[in-house]
Amino acid sequence: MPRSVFHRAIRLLLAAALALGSAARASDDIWSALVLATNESPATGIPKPLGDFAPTIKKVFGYNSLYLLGQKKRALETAPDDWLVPSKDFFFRVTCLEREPAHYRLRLDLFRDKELLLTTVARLARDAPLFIRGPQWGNGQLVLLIGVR
Amino acid sequence: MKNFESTFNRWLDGSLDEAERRKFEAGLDKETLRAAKTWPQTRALLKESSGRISLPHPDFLNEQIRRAIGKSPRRATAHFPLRRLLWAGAFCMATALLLTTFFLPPQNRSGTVVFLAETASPGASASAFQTPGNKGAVIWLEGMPYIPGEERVQ
Repeated sequence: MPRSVFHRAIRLLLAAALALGSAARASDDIWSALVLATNESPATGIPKPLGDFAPTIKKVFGYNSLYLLGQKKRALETAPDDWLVPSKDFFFRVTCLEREPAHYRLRLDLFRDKELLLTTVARLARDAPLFIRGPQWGNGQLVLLIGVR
Repeated sequence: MKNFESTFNRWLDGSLDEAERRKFEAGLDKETLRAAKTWPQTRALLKESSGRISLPHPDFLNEQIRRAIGKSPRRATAHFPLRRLLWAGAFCMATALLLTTFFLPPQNRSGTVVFLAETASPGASASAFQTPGNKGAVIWLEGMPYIPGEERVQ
């Protein structure tokens, strides 16, 4: 009797884990943002969507103030090509090459208007964004963020 | 070796015949011969004293020993009790975690990794590296044309 209860509990746990896993995979989104990073005194407030990334931007790029110029989120499809347009000037063509439980292998093409700036193949893990240091703009630096959520 | 041992014992007991004794003593060093000279006296003392040591009330003493053994706390006889196994398991898991954290290359961990970064802009270059926590990644574009502040970016 205790053995059958134990087996039933194991089956329930497995089913729950599978359901949770498939639900997590189904709800994955790709998110991108165009950020202007500057140094100001005093530092301006950090926009809410960038709260998690501000420490890394400060550490890696050395800027204390961030402005969110645009952002876009959409479901991560496995279709051949998809477009992610956080701003009119800078946008991505996203190609999902491989989908695994913990991450996605993507080909990303970064465009400025119609000009291709960068081609990259990267493995993107959930909540571990890719920071792209773009061109200088005015007295600041354009930084593009792209990540899976 | 066993043969030597039996001959040696017989030599100590004095049961070797003359020829055997001479042959055996020729193979011994001086110190052994000197020490062996005292052996007959020692053997005589042991023979004399054997049987003299006797304990009074042997049954009473046996009973006391048995009781003392009964009262002493029993030790666990199992070599792998549950608690020890749990500690061993926890230790193994902690070791595995440490090894994974410190010795596995960053690209094998579950973070973001850049495999390729190529720029199409003339005069520009791209390099990639991990963020300080090794979770995210950075593509560093160098030599991109400057956008004047007056130009609108949206």
